[in-house]
Amino acid sequence: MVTSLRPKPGPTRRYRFPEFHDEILPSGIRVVTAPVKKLPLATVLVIIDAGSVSEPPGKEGIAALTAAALLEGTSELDGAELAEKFEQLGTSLESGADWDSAVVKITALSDQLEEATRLLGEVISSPVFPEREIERLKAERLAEILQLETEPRGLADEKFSEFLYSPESRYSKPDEGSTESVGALSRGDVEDFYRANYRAGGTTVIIAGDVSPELARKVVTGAFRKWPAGSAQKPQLTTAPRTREKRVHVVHKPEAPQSELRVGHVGLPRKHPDFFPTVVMNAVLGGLFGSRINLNLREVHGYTYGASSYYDWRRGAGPFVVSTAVESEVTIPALTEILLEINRIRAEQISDEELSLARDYLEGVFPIRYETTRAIASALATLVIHDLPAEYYDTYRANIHDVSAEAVLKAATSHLHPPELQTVVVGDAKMIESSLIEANFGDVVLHNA
Amino acid sequence: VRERQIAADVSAFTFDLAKGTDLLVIDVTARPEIGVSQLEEEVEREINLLHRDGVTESEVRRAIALIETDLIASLQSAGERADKLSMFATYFNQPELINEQTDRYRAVTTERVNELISERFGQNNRASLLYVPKEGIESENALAAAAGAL
Repeated sequence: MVTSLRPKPGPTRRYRFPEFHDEILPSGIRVVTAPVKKLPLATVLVIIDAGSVSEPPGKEGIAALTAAALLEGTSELDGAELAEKFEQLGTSLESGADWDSAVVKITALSDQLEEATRLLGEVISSPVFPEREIERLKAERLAEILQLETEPRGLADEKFSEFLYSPESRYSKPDEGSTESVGALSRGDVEDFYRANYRAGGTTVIIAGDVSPELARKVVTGAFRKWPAGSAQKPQLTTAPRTREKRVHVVHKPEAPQSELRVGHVGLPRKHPDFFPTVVMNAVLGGLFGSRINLNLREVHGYTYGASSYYDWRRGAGPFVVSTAVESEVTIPALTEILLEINRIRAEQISDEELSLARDYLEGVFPIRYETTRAIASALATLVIHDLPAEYYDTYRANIHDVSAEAVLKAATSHLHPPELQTVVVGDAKMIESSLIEANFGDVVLHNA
Repeated sequence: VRERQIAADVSAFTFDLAKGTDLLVIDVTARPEIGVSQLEEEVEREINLLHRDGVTESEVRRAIALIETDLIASLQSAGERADKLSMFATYFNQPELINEQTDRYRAVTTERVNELISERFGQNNRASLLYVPKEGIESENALAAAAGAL
């Protein structure tokens, strides 16, 4: 017989992000250590200032290819032997690149941490980039692009970026490159990108978990003893829009039963002073399940299973986008409702109920996000990449809580621009083109998929 | 995936069924230019080799090391701790089994793994499910041949 009683929840406690230690080693490498001694393990995450925005023009995709190719072998071990070595240590190495940086990471038990980090250092410091593996990685990426482009969602995302930003902007092209750019990349390009960008001045090693700052310093110094000094010269990033006039781009997919929709414009850089009011504003507009756009399109009108909006926060101004898919015949009404919601949040103050729902959600989910060493390391990576203040996570909830309905209105009027909205519709043009012209959402331009 | 480059990805997993016989699933996706029958033959060949030769001590140690890290890492989140406690409570009425898992995995020997392989990985204990795009079927004959190879 069960005699114990279910414990009652206690009062809400104040949240503190794990304390962390931040230093720059004599080699120029920055080391951020968050000792979290709950369990005997730690995550090591290396950030290198070598994301897609660091790519030379015409070499789109080289950042992702270089990050992936790191795992293909060192002067001592080939790719398969490396994977085996990491597995013997109970871990596996992951690498990748996004717009702003390349990231390499492992999570290992404490007793394997030193050896696993030493091996990780070797992987990053002495890659050999075998020609055969580079070609294999390219073929894999080309197959992925092919798959993405046959699928309306991937195609809509890609076309939206292309139509949103000026052709000179790196953001106008897919972050991992296009069929043309990836197809033309060579082993020499990987080598050149690596030599130019993988350097101590642009490297931060984050260790979160069962580790002290002293141990972290020792481990990183040993693992990165061959790391070249200095920082890379970065190309200038432009985030200018392709046009400031609203336009509708129809990407024709014959007989598509649905229209995949993207509506938006160039958004804000991550370090914008209006970040918090804009986050709350977007949560009310389309950031949550209970937000206006989803309730309107899904619950009230039944046009879709889901609709959302988001700001893609990057160092440069990423896009603001509303995203959904609807049956072809309700394309025009769905777009009308999206525009109505964007205009409504700019025109009148949100209700107290909406404000508290958005704030409660954003404040409430916050501590749950940082339970694991991986999540803590990733959170610290965000601080480093975006150069945010050390107290950012400790003050996050208060900053969200302090956002008022007036501030939300101000963020909406300042950072949502209906006359500049670009709309992408991936669907059957025959079914929607003439009514789109009549609806007057902007000049309609037809493209083949 | 790496050497002969006929598959885009490969993974193997079990459902961890608590009651009755579990299933081991090997999930392989062909590279675009590779036919369904070739892919199936290659997977069959690898399973046959495994059935004949078994696995090595080093492979078993690697698997256990990875499982141990995953297990401990998963206990960091309240949601996953609750899931695991609930699983051991529901299936075995012993939530405290969570504390024995690393020792149980560490106690697994290569001999025991090979006994299981020898007992369960035989020709007559397999089924294949081929999932192909409509226009990707080379011919009805090829598909029938692949199906006949089961």
